[in-house]
Amino acid sequence: MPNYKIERNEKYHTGVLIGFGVLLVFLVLLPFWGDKSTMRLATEMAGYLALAVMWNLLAGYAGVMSIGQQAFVGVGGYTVFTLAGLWGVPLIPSILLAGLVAGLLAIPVGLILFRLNGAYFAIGSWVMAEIFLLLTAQSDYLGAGSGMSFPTAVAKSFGNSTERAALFWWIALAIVIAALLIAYLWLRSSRGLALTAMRDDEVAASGLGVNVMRNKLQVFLVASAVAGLVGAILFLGKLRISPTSAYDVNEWTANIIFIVVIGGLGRLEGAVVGTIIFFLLRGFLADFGSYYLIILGLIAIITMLKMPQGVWGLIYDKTQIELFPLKRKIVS
Amino acid sequence: MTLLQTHNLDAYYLDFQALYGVSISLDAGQIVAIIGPNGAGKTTLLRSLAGWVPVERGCVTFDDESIGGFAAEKVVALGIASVPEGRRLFHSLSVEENLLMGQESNRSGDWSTDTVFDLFPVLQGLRKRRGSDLSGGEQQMVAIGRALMANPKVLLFDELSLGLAPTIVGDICRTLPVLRDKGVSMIVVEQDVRRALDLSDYVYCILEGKINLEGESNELAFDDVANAFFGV
Amino acid sequence: MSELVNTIIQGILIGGLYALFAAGLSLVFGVMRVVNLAHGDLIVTGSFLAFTATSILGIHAALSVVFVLPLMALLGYSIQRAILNRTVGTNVLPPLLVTFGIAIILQNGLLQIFTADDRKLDFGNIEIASMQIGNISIGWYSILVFVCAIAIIAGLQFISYKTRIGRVLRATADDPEVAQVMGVDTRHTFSVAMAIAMVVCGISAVLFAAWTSFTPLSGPSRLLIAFEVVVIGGLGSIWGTLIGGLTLGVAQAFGGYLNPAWQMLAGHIAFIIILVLRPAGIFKGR
Repeated sequence: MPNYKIERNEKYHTGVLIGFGVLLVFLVLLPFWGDKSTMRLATEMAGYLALAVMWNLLAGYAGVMSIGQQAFVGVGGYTVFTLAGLWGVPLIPSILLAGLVAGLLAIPVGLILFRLNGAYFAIGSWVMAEIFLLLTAQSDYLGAGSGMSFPTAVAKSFGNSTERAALFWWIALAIVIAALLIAYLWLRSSRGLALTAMRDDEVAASGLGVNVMRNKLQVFLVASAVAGLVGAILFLGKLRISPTSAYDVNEWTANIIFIVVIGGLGRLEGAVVGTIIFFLLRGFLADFGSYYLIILGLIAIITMLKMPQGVWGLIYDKTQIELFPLKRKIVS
Repeated sequence: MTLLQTHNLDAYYLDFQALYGVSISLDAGQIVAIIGPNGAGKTTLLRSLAGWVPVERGCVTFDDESIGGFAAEKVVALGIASVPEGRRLFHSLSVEENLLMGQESNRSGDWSTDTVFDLFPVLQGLRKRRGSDLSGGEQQMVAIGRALMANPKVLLFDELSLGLAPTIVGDICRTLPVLRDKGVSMIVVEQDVRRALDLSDYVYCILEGKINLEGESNELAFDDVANAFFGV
Repeated sequence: MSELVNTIIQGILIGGLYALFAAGLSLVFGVMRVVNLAHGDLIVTGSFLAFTATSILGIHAALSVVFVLPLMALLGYSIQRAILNRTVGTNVLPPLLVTFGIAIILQNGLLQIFTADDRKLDFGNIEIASMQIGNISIGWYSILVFVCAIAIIAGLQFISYKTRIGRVLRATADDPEVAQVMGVDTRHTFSVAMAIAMVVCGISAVLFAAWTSFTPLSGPSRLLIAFEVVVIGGLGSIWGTLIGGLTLGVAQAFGGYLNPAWQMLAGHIAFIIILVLRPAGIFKGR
């Protein structure tokens, strides 16, 4: 029998890897060359990118179209405010627990909502996020409808505002790297193949022995845990949280969907490209108020109709370049 | 007089080329049979004629007019009606409503629910039943009746006998000459070679997207057709 | 006790309106297999059209339907024809994302024009007049709304089963490909379905705009109500939709009776409970 093996890396991937290494050093050192506002912007971008990578994994690979991920962002934010702010739990464990709580909550939520398929799941997940919002707003302990501020004394214990910005940036960087690594390794493994098969045809995939429900639930759990981490770090940066901002569908889901669609659904690189485009547009259109969101909506619709593969899909079609090698090539 | 014709027709099923330079023709008052194994391109050929599959404009002519690539609703408005593979009745509509859907092409003529019930009396009693509650044979009658309600000049018949009991097939085959006498020409896709030769005036045998045998039905030897069918 | 009875009656009466919200959503899903995420924002758009017509022309709120309904029909037809038809028959994602985009555009467009202020339509004296039965008083406006809702649902039922366009819509829902082979211009049919759905939305938009106040941001809550009603009532039967509407209306009213802040929450929770109780899930494989 001839000897075949599966190859993924092309020659240029050594260069890509070196590039990533240089970029990483550059980003880790950000607090030494960037000011406070740069660090805050970078933290926000990292959070959005982590959410986008996970939403892409959900919708672009697992076929789970959630428009309720704000539920877990909000839970993450409120958990960290409670643990670190009210109960005095140290910062890092609080953030990790925020991710854990969000991930664990995703299990019962997923078990209920996966009874709805496709588009119905989408709205069901939105209802779930509304329930979270309404329940949070009922809780006087969490500041009810007006929300809560992070206790100043606790915030100061993390350092002055510049030190905090640096600390939060490093944590956000760790979260986004973790999200990218998880997504990348997941898709590279046999589970990745199972996901792609499910997305293409759920019935056929389950006929081939793919446990569709379990796979969906796993992705949903991980994506929700990451949403919890992102919520934790971003609301820590704001030092203030309220039900409407924590569970905001436009902020945590519409924007993320825009990023994924514009960058390229079902491509890991798409989330990166989409995040860059999103923040550029936001910078340019900041003065236009509501028009800004109207323009984003229009761009998303036009992209979906005219260029459904997104910006990275277009680049890939022209160059066949993958920054995160996932393509399988059989060589003898 | 040639009614419907294809000229060097290429057609695609999804991303695969299913037909390569196929030329057939149907004369007024004729029954043409298309035979060939599964996957040979028979259904794609009928779908190209009916407008389900996009093809180049000049590839199909009807009454000397190029109709290739016309949308399905335009094709039927010109007088080419279809009995699709697997009958495909509207399952939540009653038999009568299914028949009435045949009139959506707005062609005038003699066919009405009453004349369909004359042709297939058994349907009369099933008028209010849903399409999904009928036997395969009854469904095929409704599908034929539905196509006739368009008052077509040409009837495209995909898989006439597939999945039906032999006696029912016999009944349905006997109606084809009746329809021809009423001025309907037909293209019939059929897997059963002997039946195809019996019911048609002219036969095309299609294999791997190409015509590999054609001729008058009563002049072709069964063995030649069978060999062509299997590509021997 | 009579307060509770009052609450429940009120819930039933608004349930009719909820059923109308849902009827449009389920019509669009039934025919096009598209879940329209802009449904709620289209309803709110209808409310703002009514508001504009009454404030510019100074006509009675009820008369605004003369403008609202044709405009809504036109809007629905155009959106379907120009945009959504391009996504029909693809997988589930494109129509969802495109309708989500439309929702965002409508919401922010309305914000730009009308600001985030609360608005309400004024139906005049009928809003405060009520009928007294023993200890129980029922507002005439609520009764009017309920009667309108039942009449429109009956009208939709009539259109579906007794008219040619209804037959074509049902046939297209069953099998759009074969409908086209029968001579149906399915792109037009889809657009007509959307137009009908938008007329129903328009009526409910006007009625609801006087029931409670609205802002450009009210769309999502209308969408979620419509969706919950469809899931509770089951798809495919318009009378099931009515039952779903009444169930949700009563659940919300009961929640609101216990604690005014629980009104919406109670509706959502009723929805989750029903979702959990149905063992096989709902609409599997559709």
